[in-house]
Amino acid sequence: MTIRKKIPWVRYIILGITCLIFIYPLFYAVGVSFMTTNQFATTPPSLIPFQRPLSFFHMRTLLLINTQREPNMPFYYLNSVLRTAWYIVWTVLISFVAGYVFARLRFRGKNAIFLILLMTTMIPPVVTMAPTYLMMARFPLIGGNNILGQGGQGFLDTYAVLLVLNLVNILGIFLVRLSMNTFPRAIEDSGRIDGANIFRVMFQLVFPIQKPILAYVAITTGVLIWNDWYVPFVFTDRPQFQTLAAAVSRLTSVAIGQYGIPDWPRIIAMGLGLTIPSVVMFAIFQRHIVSGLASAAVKG
Amino acid sequence: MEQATTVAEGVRAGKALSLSKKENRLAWMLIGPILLYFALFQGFPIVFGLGIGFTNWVGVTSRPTFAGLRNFVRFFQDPIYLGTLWNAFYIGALVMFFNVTIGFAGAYLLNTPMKGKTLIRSIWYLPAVTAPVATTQIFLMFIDPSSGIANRALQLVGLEPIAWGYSTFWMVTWIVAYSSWRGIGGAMILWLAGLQSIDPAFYEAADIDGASGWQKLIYVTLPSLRNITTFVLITGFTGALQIFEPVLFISQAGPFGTTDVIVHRVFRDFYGDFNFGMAGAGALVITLIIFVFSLTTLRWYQVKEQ
Repeated sequence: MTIRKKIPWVRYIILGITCLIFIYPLFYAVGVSFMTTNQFATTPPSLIPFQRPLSFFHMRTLLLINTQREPNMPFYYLNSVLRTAWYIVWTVLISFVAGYVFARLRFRGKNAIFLILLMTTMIPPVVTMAPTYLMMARFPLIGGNNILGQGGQGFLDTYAVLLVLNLVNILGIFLVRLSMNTFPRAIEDSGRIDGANIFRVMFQLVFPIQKPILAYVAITTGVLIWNDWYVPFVFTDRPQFQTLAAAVSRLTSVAIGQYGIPDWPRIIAMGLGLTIPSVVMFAIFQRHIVSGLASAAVKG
Repeated sequence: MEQATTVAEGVRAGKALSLSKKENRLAWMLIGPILLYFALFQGFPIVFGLGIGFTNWVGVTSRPTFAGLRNFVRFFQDPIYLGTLWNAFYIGALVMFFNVTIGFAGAYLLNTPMKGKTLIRSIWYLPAVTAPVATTQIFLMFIDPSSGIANRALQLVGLEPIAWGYSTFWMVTWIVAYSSWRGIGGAMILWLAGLQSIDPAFYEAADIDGASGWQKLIYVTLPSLRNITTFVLITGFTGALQIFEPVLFISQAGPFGTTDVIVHRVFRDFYGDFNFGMAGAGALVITLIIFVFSLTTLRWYQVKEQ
């Protein structure tokens, strides 16, 4: 009996310590963001990274109050927000429409097509790394390319390349279809009898009820695209085309070579501008993320 | 009378036929553009990517020539490529080990009605939503030779500072630490979902039989989790073998390429050297390994289920 009583405390202590470990790097990053580059470089590091006087220099850049240091900062935010919103809208729309069609309508080749789509998810993303680059560079009739894809830049260093790749999320289609299986057809039938056409049935009857799974698709897509540094880094050069994540990647040693001394407060503060929105979004939608992740695993 | 029914049936059948034709057309109208886009922008690069390894293709504007298996022969003869494969395996195995075991322990501790459960679960998962490009920099700052807290902490307990960036062992340690920091929460949520789907009646039955906590874990919990174990193993292995960003941002394959992993090598091949043939060969090798592993695990799952 005594052991049983002690267990909750042991549980809380273990979990509490682990939570501190998970949180600590982010806590430290907040502290460093309030230092000047000089403060950080000249004082010995402390486990509690807050120094007096607090410097708001990097925070001002982050909040667009003073962007002398990063004149393109407004572009970074704008591009990140636009790109994220664009991908959320398309991914949710495509997942919903395709998921609904695969769940409800009968058409030729349905099962074979669905099987092929599912099989493509088994291909690791690394396979498409080089081909996507070649395809973007040599896309026919884009960016000065001729019909054979020669002579110009293709999609490279265009704004379109930020918006054109990977709009279809097969997992999203799969999850919507799965969730439609437990959705009573009677609701749709009653809508049809009342004279609504299929689009009204889809968007006015089914869509509102499928919100939880679509929220999961939206939030995972949003976080993925918000965090994505790769596409702007690899496919574009112009500073105005960079997203916030790509801007951070261009400050890291990957971009500037190994031998420069990194300006840590600057990098960390910009990184924080990237991290905080994700964390806030997660805090708001965490219920959907957890249940979506769980259902993807238990059912899939 | 008989004639009337046949006519009626004929009409009904005709209507049903035209309806399904209409349905077919409607479905294709809705899904056709999506499939067309997918085939062009996502399907084509996959097919292209599976074939590109058989070409000799260096430079974006150059003409590819057929190379047969030459890239693959080079891959399996060159110690650099084999090294990246081996590194991906053992770094991936370490990450997977920590994610799966610590994730399971966390789920096991959390699988009870308790205060603050949602908060704790969220904090564990929080790192997974952060941007790797940003959070790798935090870890990198920790191991900065002069202003990082890792060396400061060593100094405080009276140890010599370590030149982290010049030690393969420590670079691997930090890559694994970062990847687990970011990955444990996801594994924990999957395990927790699995634990919560177990019928409590099994535990009650075990209690009646007088089973101890360990016995319940081994004879009730683990066998009930076979489904989720398969999922965690396949997704975990697939993810761990493709670790890329922590290597790119924390160690940059250093020191001297000793922490290079296969996906990072593929990235360097195509983006640094524009050697699309070798990049394609590396990517195909990873794909085959992942296929073999996934199919074996599924097979094991099916055998156990029977």
